[in-house]
Amino acid sequence: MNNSPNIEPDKEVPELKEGFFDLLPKGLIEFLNEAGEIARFAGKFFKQVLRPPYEFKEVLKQAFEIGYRSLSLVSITSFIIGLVLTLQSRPTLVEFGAEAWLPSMVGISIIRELGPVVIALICAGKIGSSIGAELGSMKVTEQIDAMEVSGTNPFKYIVVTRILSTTLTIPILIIIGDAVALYGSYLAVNIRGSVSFTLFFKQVFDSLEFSDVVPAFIKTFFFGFAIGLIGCYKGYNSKKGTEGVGRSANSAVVIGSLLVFIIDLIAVQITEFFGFL
Amino acid sequence: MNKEISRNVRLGAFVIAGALLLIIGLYSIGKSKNMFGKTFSLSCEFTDVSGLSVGNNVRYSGIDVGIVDEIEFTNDSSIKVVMEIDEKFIKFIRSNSIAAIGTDGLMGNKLVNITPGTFDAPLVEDNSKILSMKIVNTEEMLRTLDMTNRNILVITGNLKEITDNINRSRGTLYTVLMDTSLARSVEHTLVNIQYVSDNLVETSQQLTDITKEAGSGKGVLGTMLNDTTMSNELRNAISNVKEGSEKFSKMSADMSEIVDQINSGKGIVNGLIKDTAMANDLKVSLSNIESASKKLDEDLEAVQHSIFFRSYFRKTKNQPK
Repeated sequence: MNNSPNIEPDKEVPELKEGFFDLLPKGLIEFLNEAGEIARFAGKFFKQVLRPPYEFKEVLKQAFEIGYRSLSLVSITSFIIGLVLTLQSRPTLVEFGAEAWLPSMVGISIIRELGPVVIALICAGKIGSSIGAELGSMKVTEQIDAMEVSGTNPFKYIVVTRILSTTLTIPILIIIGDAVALYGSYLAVNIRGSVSFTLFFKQVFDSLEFSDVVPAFIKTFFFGFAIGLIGCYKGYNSKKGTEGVGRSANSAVVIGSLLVFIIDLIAVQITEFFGFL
Repeated sequence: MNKEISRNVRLGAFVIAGALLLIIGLYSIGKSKNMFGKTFSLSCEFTDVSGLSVGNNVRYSGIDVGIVDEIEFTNDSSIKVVMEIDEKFIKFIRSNSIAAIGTDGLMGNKLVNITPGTFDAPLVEDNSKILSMKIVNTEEMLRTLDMTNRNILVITGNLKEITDNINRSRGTLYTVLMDTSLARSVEHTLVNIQYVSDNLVETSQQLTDITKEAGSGKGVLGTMLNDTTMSNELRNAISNVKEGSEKFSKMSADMSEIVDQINSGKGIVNGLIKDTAMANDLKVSLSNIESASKKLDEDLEAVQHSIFFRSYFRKTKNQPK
């Protein structure tokens, strides 16, 4: 019954690693441990996602709850971003006599960077916290354990579906958000000046390259994956009763937002490496 | 069930909206880069592409007609730029069109500007090559401006030295520049010049009138200029004057000869002028003539009173003259 690994007495267990980690600060060890747990959690996701049975209905349900229900928030926020960015940039460009460049500048800013990052942060706040809180409460109320007992794979049913949903719907939210932000920018341009709808969008698309759009679009999948992964991880590993639910939701937002920035930084480096910048 | 369908429909609309927006965006970008239409290739060679890169716009007469497709070195001093041009513009671009690298606005992206060729040249074909022209770039312009600035610095230094010298020496130039009375004199002079110029204008006007009158044959001058009879007379008079002057010339020559002869001691005149003995003799002779005439006068007086001639003189005295 003893399942512990047999260690041969003549072979000494290397104590170098333990000694090395003992030298590190406790906070750093905790951080590395957390990073390792998240990596394992992600690995489990990739393992489970390819294995049948596939929970399509639950994926669609989660896509609706996560994506569709976030549309209004994302649209309003994006509209304001486009409007404010244009109004704030306009005086500086007017000073240089480059007012005609406003659509190009705002278009590049929104499509390349502002749209994806800001919308991903909003999603990290709304979606990450809701997943963290939902899974956390399921955990503390032992619903997950009950699922396991009833023969349902809770990880596959709860985690995989949610991560897939965020990975697929956040890019769509970002595309719609970018479009709404550009429309907000168009309205802002017409508050002071007069630029036709056709001219505005022609200038925007003329200034854009595929190398602006494609990397920005690809990184949104990573944003979605990271937000879903962190939300699920924090909720799935929630502890300490109802208090832990709030903590899970909170840390899901914080770590999810941080990961968005880190992924953006890596994406910029990769884009630059391949010569798209 | 209804709830689930409604949810799925809304989710489907949400996904399709996102996909459509993505497709429209990508299509618009591709269209602006001529990715979906038929194109043809044009190439040209430059020595310096000034930062031109693949994807930059190509403009023909200010219209975006294509993009830069390829940039490659053909040798160590020549760079080949291949451009993808929208096929609908092939009927406008002539083979002697000239490509030049420019900038979109003052600080914009680099682009290739194609200047239209002349109508007598044939139209370009696919993969044909056009001429290129080097444009002065900003760097060269700044270099020239830098040199100009240096020259201006030297010039201002020299000017400062000159003005310092003028201030220090207080010479003529200083007086000219600083003396207010001189300025008034100059002003006065200018007023006079103005007055003189006014007079000149008036005089020239009068002269114009005179010449007009003379031209039209009025007045003495006009008559002189236009009357042929008078001109003949004038010609005769001039001829007479010429003849008189010739005679006078001859006379003066004769006089000169006479004077020469006198000077050379020949003739009686020379003796009268230069020979003092002769002068004395002449003087004595004149004195003698005077005394002889006195005596003759007395003798004649005596003859009048003589008995033989008294009646004759009385008769002549009474006769009217």
